Order: sequence, then structure tokens, then C-alpha cells
Amino acid sequence: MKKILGIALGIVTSIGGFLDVGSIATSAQAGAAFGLSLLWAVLLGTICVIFLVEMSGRFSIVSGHTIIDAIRKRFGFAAFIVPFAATLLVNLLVLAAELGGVCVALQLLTGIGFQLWAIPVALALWMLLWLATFDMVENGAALLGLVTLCFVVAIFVLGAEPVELAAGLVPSLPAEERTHYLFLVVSIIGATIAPYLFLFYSSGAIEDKWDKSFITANRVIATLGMSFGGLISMAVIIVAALALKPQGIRVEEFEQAALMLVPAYGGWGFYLFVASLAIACFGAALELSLASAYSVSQAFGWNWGENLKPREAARFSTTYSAFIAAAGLIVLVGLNPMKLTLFSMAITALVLPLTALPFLVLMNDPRYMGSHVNSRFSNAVVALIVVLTGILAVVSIPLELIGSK
Amino acid sequence: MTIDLIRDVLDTQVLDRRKQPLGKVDGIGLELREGAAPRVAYLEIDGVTAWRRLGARYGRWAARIASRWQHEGHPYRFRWSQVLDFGIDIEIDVDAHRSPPLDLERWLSDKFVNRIPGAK
Amino acid sequence: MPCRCSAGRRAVVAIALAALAACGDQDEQKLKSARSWSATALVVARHWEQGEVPTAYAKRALRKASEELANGALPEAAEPVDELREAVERGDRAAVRRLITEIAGR
Repeated sequence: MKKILGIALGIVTSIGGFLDVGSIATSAQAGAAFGLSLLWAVLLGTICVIFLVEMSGRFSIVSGHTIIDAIRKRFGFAAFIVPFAATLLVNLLVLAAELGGVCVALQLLTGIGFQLWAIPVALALWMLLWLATFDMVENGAALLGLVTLCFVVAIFVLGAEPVELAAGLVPSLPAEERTHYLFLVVSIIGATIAPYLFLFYSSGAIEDKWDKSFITANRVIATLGMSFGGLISMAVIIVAALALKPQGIRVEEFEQAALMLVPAYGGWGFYLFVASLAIACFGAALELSLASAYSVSQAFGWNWGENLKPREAARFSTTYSAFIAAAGLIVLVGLNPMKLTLFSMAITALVLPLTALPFLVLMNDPRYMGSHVNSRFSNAVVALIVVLTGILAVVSIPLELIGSK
Repeated sequence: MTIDLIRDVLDTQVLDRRKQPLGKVDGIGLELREGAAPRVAYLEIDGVTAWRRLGARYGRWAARIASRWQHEGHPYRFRWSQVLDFGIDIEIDVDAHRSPPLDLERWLSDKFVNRIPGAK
Repeated sequence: MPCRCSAGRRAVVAIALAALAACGDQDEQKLKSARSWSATALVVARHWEQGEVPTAYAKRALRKASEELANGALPEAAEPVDELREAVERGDRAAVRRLITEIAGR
């Protein structure tokens, strides 16, 4: 009974925690500019993230290691540290984008510029982590995140053609704006397969002391939680395609994205969008700050843990404090939040192979996984998606940078 | 039992006798002996040692930064005879509480963490 | 070795060509962006007039739209958007309604 409750909570929190600034921004832009034709990118990303999350849970259950810990040990400090530092830097950019998302939500609501919110929002995030126990904060944010289901409901209010939806799930290339289309493919996949997601999940499995009896539970949580989460991401594309594209509105700024729920919900629509954006970004910012501090602690063998007081884990709490401060500064500088988000999602896709590929090596190492090593099929799926996305990122990021100015 | 030093020991998590984290095995010292096989003299827990594995220059940078919080007893070394348990982690018979690998932890506690309300 | 070098050069050429193609798209993209901002302004004004979005947001969105239009491919479209913004700032729903019909009629 307790286990079933745990599974349910796991699924619900992964659904509520799925959307973040990256998936909202990339999906809104994709739907407004290209209609339903980018749905397949979310599908591809979701398939890959289901596999990766399932693997990371299984890895921690079977080997007793967290992923970071094991990558350092398997590949040695010298080979480990450079990709690790790159991943942390990208985490920092994404954290800044998430904080920026919360600030933009407040700007939409009050009209006060987002930069002015950087310090209060960063401070609120930091205080929650400093004072509260993390699982309470974590689960609370993810449960509130269920408000993002309003995007799914909006599809039914607006009415979508199932045939067109299905057509969007097949990869295609548009006749014009191909470079921007490819850049969006990369950012969407980057937004869907954020490495912090599976690093965080593996730490959680260790924290909650999952044993081998959880292998099935892990599979169920990963599959259902991530699939439903992916559906919400698709819902954002669909709603933008139905509500914004016919009016000729493209999403270059969040001011434009904020209009997407108004046709479905009238006066409530605006506030639902603002609430979804604020909660989704704040929840993701919580996870990212923790995931980064976990990773650093695991890399250097410091004490880390969800429910340690700052005094009992000074290096751990200093790490997330420094991360939040740095991200707050990036928001304060006033980079355009939409551009920052799209760029950091594309960079996420670019560095994804740096964590995913070594992780795949571990998943095939019987010394860690015993008889629970990966099947060839799951190796192929993850390697193919991650490598192709990485190559696409190398090509499309410079093109987008040239094309946008 | 044979143990592959690089594969099984280097970069492994080290815990104290109460299972508190001490750090990673950042380096291994071998003793060369006349007419006999070399043997493990000590295992080292020290961030500077790890950075030195990237190159001497990184080691010097790390040492300069670490000198802010490191007191005596660095690099911290322990012997194989102190190992209590060797599995996923290495457990050794010391008390982390006052040990040199936790200098940074204590330094941050004193300088920063404990001065902020709510840290307890 | 020479073969690796030429492969790298080929990649550079390919990216440069694609970049040229992207530049060709640029005018088209600027026009699309301008049309989109103009549409955004109308939709924001309409929603504001019906009380569906807060005034603070409407003002900010209209100011942004007029800035983007003034610096974009349709600078002449910035002026009516400014008029819309001024009407919103005055809280003058009747004027906003009139302006919307006017602009949409153009």
C-alpha cells in the first residue's frame, strides 16, 4: 500500500514538475510559428527521457551509486572534470532562465520590469532551500505544478483535429525558415531531456533507499510520469498552434505567449498562463539548484542530502547558495529572457552527450549493473537520439546566431 | 581477492567509521622495494592531488586556493590497514569530525554558513 | 591528414552556404515579425477592452509592440499602436474600440 502511494506520488510529481521555462518557451514558439508540425520533436525527446530516467533509477537501485559518483570513478577525475564543469555551467544558464521565467511571470502580472524581480525571487528560492526540508518543498512545488494541466484542458475547449495532431507526430521539414525550425527542434529536445532531471532522479533513488523491489516501481514511475509530462509539453504546442497562429501572432517575447490561454478561458486564461509559468519555473529552479549542489557534492565526496540542515552540510549549502546568487546576477544583467531560454535549451542539447554517453557506458558495465545491464534496444534509442541531437545542435546554434542578427 | 587499484580504488568514496563522507581517494602512493613487488604505501584524500592529475599547473592553482582553508595535515593520507570495509565505498577507522579532509567544511561553516540565521 | 583538413573545410563551406541562405530568409523573417507584433497589439487591445487582461500588462505589451515595429520592417505601423497604448493608459475603452476598428480596416 505504502509503495503504491509512493508510486502515485512519484508519477504525480513528475507530471507536475515536467514543464519548465524551456518547455513553455520552446513549445509556445514552435506552435505559434510552425503549427503542429514540431510535435514529433517533443515525442522524440520524451521517448529518450523515459529511457534515461528509467535507467538512472535502475542504476542507483542496482549499483548503489549516484550517476556522478560512478562516472568519476569509472572514468577518473581528469577525464571527468571538464565535461562535468561544462554541464554545471549549462545548469547555471538554465537556472538563470528559470529564475528569469518566474520574474517574467511577475512582470506580466504587475508591469514591473523583470530585472527588478531578480533579487527578491532568488532570495525567496534560496530561503526555501535554506529553511525548509527539501522533500516537502519539492513535492509541494510539483503538486502545485499540476496547474499546468490547464494546457491539456484548453485543447478540448478549443477543439483540435485528431488527424492533424497525428500528422504532427511525423517528422517533417517546412518549406521556409528551415534554420529556425531546426534550431527549435534542438531546443525542444534540450528542454525535454534536461540532464538535471535524471541526475536528480538518481540522487532521489539513493536518498529514498530504493532496493531491488523498486525496479518495477521505477519503470512505472519513469514511463507514466514522463509520458504524461511530455503530453503537457505537446499541449503547449497545440494550444499555441490553435490560439496564436491563426491570429498571426508569433512568440518572440513572453508578452505574446501570455495570450495563448485567453481564447480558451477568457479572463482566466491570462492568469492561468502566468501561474503556470511562475510555478513551473520556480519548481524547476528548486530542482536545478539542488541537482547542481548534489552533483558537486557527489563529485568531490562531500556530505549531501535532502534533509540535512545547512550547518550539517556547509559545502553543500554553500554550493546551491552560490549557484542561486550567480543565476540571480545573470537575470539582473537583463539578458532577454526568451532568448536566454532558447539559447540555454539548445546548449543543453549540445552538452547532453557529455553526460548521457558516459552514463550509457556505465549502464552496460556488469560490474555496476550485474544482470541488469541495458538491452541493446534501449542503448540504441538513447545513443541515437542524443548523438543526432548533439550534431544538429552543433550545426543549428551558429546558424541561429547568425540569422537572428 | 585481487584489487585493481585504478579501477576499484582510485576515485572511490571514503567514509569514516560512522559512515560520514570524508572525500574521494584522490591519489595512491606506492612504495618501491628492492627485489620485491611495489606495495601500496598510502591512499590520499586531497582536492589538490586530484587537480594535479590534470596537470602540474592546475595542481598549483588548486593549492593556492586551498591554502585559504587548509590547516596542517595535508595531503591527508591513510593506510590500507585502516580500512574497515571495502565495497561500493571505502570505510576507514577514523573520525571525520576533526579530520583534515573536512577543513573546507569547517571553514565555510565558520566564515559563512553559521553566520546566517536558520543554519542550525 | 590532408583528407581530414578538407572534410573540415567542406563543413565550414556547408555552414557558410547555409548561413547565406539564412540571411536570405532574414527580410522575410523581419516582415513576419513585424506583422506578428502588429497582430499582437490588436489582440492585446481587444482583450484589454473586454477586461480579459490587466492594464499593467496591456500597457507594457503595447509599448513593446510599438518599439519592435518602429525598429522593424513596418515602422509606419508603430504610430497606431502608440495611439492604442495612450488610449489604454487613459482607460478609454471607447477609444480603444474605435482604434481597433480603424486599424483592422486598413
